[in-house]
Amino acid sequence: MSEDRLQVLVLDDEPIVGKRTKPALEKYGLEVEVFVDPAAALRRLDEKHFDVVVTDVRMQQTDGLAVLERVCATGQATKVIIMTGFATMDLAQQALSKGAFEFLAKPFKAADLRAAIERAAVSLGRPVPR
Amino acid sequence: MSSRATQPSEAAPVADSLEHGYRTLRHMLDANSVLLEQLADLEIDLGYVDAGQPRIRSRLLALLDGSLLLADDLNYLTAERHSALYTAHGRIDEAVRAYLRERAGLPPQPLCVPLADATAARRQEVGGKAANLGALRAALPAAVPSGFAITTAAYRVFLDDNQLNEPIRKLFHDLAYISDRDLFAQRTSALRALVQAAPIPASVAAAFAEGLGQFAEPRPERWAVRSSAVGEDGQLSFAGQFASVLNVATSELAAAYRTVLASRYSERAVRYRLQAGFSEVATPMAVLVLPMLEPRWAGVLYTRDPGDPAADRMLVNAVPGLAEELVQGTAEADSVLVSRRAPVAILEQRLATRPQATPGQPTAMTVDELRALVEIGLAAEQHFGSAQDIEWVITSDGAAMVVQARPLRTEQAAAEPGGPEETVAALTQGGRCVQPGRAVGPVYLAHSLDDLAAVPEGAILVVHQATPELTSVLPATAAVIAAQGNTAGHAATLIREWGIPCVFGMESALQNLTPGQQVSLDAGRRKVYAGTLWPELRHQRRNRARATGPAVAVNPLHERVLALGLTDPQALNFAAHNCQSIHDIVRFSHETAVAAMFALGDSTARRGLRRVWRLQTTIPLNLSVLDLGGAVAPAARNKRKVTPEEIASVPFAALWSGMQRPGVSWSGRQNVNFGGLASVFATSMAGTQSSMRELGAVNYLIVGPEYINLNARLAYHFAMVDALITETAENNYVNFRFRGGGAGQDRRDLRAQFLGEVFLHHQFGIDRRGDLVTAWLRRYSREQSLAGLTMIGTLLACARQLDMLMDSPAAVGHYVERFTRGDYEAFG
Amino acid sequence: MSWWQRLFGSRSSSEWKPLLLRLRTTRFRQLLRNYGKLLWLLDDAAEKQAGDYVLDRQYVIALAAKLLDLTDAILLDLNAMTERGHLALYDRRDQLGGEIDQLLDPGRASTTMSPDGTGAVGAGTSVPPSSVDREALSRVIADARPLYRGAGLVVCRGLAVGPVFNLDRERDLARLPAQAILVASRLEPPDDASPHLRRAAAVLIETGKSSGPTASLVRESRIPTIVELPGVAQQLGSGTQVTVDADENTIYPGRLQALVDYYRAERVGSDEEPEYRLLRELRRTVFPLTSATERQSAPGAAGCRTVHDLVYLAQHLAADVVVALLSAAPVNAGAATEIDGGAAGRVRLVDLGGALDLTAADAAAPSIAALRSTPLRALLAGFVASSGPAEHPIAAPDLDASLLAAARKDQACILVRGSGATALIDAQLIDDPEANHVYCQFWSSDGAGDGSAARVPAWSEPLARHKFAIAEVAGGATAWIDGRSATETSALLQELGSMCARLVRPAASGRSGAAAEEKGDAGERRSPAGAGAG
Repeated sequence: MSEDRLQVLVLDDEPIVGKRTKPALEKYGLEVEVFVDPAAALRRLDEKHFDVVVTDVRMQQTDGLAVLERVCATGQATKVIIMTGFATMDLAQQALSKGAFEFLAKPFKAADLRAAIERAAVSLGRPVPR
Repeated sequence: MSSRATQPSEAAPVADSLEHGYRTLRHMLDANSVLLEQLADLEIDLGYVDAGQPRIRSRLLALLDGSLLLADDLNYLTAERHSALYTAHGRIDEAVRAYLRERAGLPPQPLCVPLADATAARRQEVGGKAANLGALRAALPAAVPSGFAITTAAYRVFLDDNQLNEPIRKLFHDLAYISDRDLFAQRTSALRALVQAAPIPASVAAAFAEGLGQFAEPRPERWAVRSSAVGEDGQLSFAGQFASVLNVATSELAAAYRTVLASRYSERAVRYRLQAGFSEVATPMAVLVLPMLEPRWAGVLYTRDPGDPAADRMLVNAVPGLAEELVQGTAEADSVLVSRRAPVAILEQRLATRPQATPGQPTAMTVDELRALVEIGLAAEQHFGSAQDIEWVITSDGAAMVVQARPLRTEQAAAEPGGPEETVAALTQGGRCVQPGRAVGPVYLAHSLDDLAAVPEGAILVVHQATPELTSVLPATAAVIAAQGNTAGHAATLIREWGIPCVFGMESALQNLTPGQQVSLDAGRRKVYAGTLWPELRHQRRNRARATGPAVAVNPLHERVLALGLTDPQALNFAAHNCQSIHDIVRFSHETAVAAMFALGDSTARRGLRRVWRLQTTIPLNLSVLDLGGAVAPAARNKRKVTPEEIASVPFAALWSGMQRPGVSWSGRQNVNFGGLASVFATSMAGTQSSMRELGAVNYLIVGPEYINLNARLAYHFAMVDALITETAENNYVNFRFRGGGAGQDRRDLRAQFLGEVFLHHQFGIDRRGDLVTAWLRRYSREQSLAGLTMIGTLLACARQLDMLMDSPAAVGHYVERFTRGDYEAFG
Repeated sequence: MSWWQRLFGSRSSSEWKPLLLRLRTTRFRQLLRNYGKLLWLLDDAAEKQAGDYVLDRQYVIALAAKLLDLTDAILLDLNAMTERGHLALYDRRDQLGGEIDQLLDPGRASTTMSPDGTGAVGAGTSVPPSSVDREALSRVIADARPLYRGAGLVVCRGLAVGPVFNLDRERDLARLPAQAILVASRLEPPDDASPHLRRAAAVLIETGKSSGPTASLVRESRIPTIVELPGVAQQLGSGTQVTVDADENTIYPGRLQALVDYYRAERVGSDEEPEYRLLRELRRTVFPLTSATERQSAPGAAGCRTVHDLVYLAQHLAADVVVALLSAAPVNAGAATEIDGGAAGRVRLVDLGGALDLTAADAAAPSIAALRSTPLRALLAGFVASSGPAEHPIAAPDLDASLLAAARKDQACILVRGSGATALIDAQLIDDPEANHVYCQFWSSDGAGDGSAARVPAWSEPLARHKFAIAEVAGGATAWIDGRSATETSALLQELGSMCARLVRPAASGRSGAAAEEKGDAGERRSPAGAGAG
């Protein structure tokens, strides 16, 4: 059933990110929606429940941390994974302390993202894709 | 870094050398930052891991090499004028190597030490509990059971073999950012799980076998496994922080060991250590294993009555069976006051109500039993030289045994003169005094743990039952009243440690006191009055001289690597041959190099290669500006002064704009205030009598297109701003350091607090050590870094009057709020 | 003295001092570590280029900045070591920096970007997305039993389906049918750059690199390629149908139609994204080592066409300084001590702190037993291992010691002089893997032929197998490795020691031995009877 599949939202203002991650995730049974515009992504988040939100931390207009806070504020069971341009301790700590589930340093392999999403699924008590 | 704009080629080799000199200086400034960070990291590491660990060794190597090259750079810039640095470095190198050699050559410590061999001198190996008990055993062999300690060396083996040091370090590091209770609970729970899942190394298992082996057949089959951390049962009790596991079968000893170790990372225990400022490496955990005794009675003996320490009596709290619930505060105990002197008699007795005892079970302790306890108490007091808090057991055979002993903190109730309270009726009274003293404040009733978390500062906390969970809120409270609770339980011990006036057993408190009501408590007299009888107590909570923790052994590494002896560049001792530590070498090299380049800058000016100017501005500043390259337009080369607008440095522009924000005024109060940042920007404005120029004051500003380094110094304090701002967030940093001031300690602390809160509000990382405030923004985007610099500029401008304005903690909060709101005129 | 001479006056005194050696070797080590970081970044960039990664423009910009910063640091250290002897190199660095700035300028016309906007990616495809049953796809993938998953190194992404053409069996690349999947254990020249390759639907190789002629070719032609697949040439015979999903580094037996459909629907073009193109262009400016073929004292900044050229030169020149200092160390108390290095012959050692522990018994004729320097001991152990007790070193006649070293307990800088070739080794060896490194520079002493140039592969190949980063020029090579555990690093030093032994005792290995070396087995023990090649 469609509801069983993990719903994932990917947000990054650089199109290459969505372009690469979408196929990698769909092949393994996840339903993915990709956005480059943070405002549009936030609107979509109001409409639909996502299990996992993967967002870049520093975008031109909206801070990824703001997206994180927004998601956490809704109180839904949604895990947020932060992508950072490079691993920075301060930023990662901020993200973690604001409730991010994990952070992933770019450049990363699609397989790494899948693994992180699997961990998020486990923590949500959802069946692991594949 | 992008390439610099190509400059007209100056063929003279002199110019090239000069260029290279500035390049070297720039490099030295970076190296200086890196070395300081490495020093800070080493200091943190030494709090978690033993100095012999590989990680420490590699850090030392990096520091030794790095500081040597910094000294080399300095000599390179100054034609070997400071070759004494090499000699100083060589001495430090030798000392560090000798220390490491010595550590490597130490004989391995035993993993198991029988209680018979545990002495006070072996406290570092066997921990506080075992050391005390072992020492007592020497004096009273019949009163202390046999047992053994699994030592701190075993603990280290357990952590090393299972690679637990890193997760532990990470936990404590992250805790600085975690204020959310749930997250705190999650993280500590995760660490406990790691410990519980870790296998027992073979050598530790062998240690257990060794300990068991000293018992002749028939060997005991059940054991008590108790924590014995270094620092425990010493000046600070750590009461109730760590787990004890009782009634452990021999086959379950390993599991019990893990449980006790895991209890180090309970929320309660972690908070305790954080509040007390203990490092992990200073409080390693040994574990004490004693055979389970069949208790007829068990409990706690205080060799002095804490409610009245001068009186000649002891306090015995007892329960039939095991004492565990007594000390946890969950079971009510019989409370007996007995005389110390012969003939030992019961002076006062309060028996707890209990469900009907089984026939044959005694309902109260006999005088003989009490006498045996008093004898033990006196002997222990004599041996240790101080009042004692003793956990005891009377076995089914009638023998009186000690299972724990530690110093008892008592405070003499101040001889309080008669006052209004004698004529005023008490709102409520009763119970037993746990800690004498007086307090005033609003009543706060806490019915649950959640309630407890919200206790306001300065409240008089009223609870039903006193449990060790109170620990986390103790610093905030003015006093504690519990309807029930054992005066000899963990909670009581902790409260006494904090010196908080406290009464237990005031049963009517919950009914007679209203939340929010302003009351006054006299704990010594066990009375609560309506209203605020002693208003002077409101702002000055009793000086809580909390006992200090276990002294960190003076480590040669601290002296030779971390300690900073050359604090003041103006002082006479600021010389290469006086460098005793790596930190000294770094500081000396940095200061001297900068001074040299400024001096050089002055002398090259004449040759049309000007690099140093005076800053021309209406703001009362006296700054020399040095251009590292590309920040000052060639047109300015022929002038002696340069305006802020002529400095093409992005970070400088941000800082400067901050200094000139609307509302910030540089004129205004001309208080000749020797303290505060005001004197940092002292002016030698012609015409002002209050010339504040200090001898040898050098305020300098080094700029590059993307770089700024500002140092403004006077005899007793300095402010430093160091920033690099590029397009690449990863390279960016903004560092701010401020130290000192001429005002008194209290004012300096308040000022430091103000700075700290303002920085935290603006997302800076912050570190406060005494009155040295360090703040930083690292690897943030260009925009955010520039915003941080602008804020610092405004802060520097507003801070002129800080010492005068920050006269109380309330003032701090007030001004922090105004600053963050942008109300800078308040500082004018 | 003029004011600037006073300030920057020459520091070099004619008197040789251990302090000077300490300062120079410490700075050399710092330079090397930066060089090593730069090499690592280049390697890492090559791996990222492969296309397996999600990366963005910011990465490329940050990479360029890091590379230039490291270059600055290296040049600064070089000039500190040589008393400002190479300031001209800064100008060259600035020029290269300018080129890179231009490259990264966002104002440049950027080529096709994938569609952006508020919707999901995937608009404008030939097969409407709804017709691809993703559920079925994921089931198919979950049920499939891949032959390889994540085992190899992706050189070029993409999907391909087709019959295998096994080059090992077929032998002739020209017979490769169009749209077949090329499988081979390795591609030797000229096959590795052959135009025949362009016919392949995909390329699967057992050993290969993510850079080099093959890699360039397949990326240009967008041919899905995976290398470093153990046993693939054994496993996949000609004619076998396979599906190669190079996006996922996975190879399935048979044809996975659902996957093919998905790719037709979802893969929006196979154009290389601009980020990857940018990375490639940056690497072209930075990466290749094109520098002079001869070891000269001043090939000049002009000879440096890329950043790598520049830092390679810097490292070379810095090594010269250290070699000169080591060679000049006088033997006396307070300077160098002669040690009996056993199979290594006489070792002249300057103890810079903790390297030697001379008890009274030892003082007259110190031996290896007195050595406390762990990296030096490891290297010497390699000498012993490669020969046998019966061997005696035949040192070059005009030199009195074959090994010159400056060492501390955890660090060592060692010059090994043989007839015809020389090696400089620097290493740090302690318990913390992050702090360890091994550096080795090897060069033939004379530019003339006589087979010495042929020895270079004998050094490079075994070191490459141990994962050293290698830079080769004619007549010499430089190798760097770091981040290994103490045990591994010690083993690597021993290996180097064995290789050095051959330098010092060329007669023992003999000419035929040299030929056997070229086969690349130089790392293994040889029987002391030596010449027994063949």
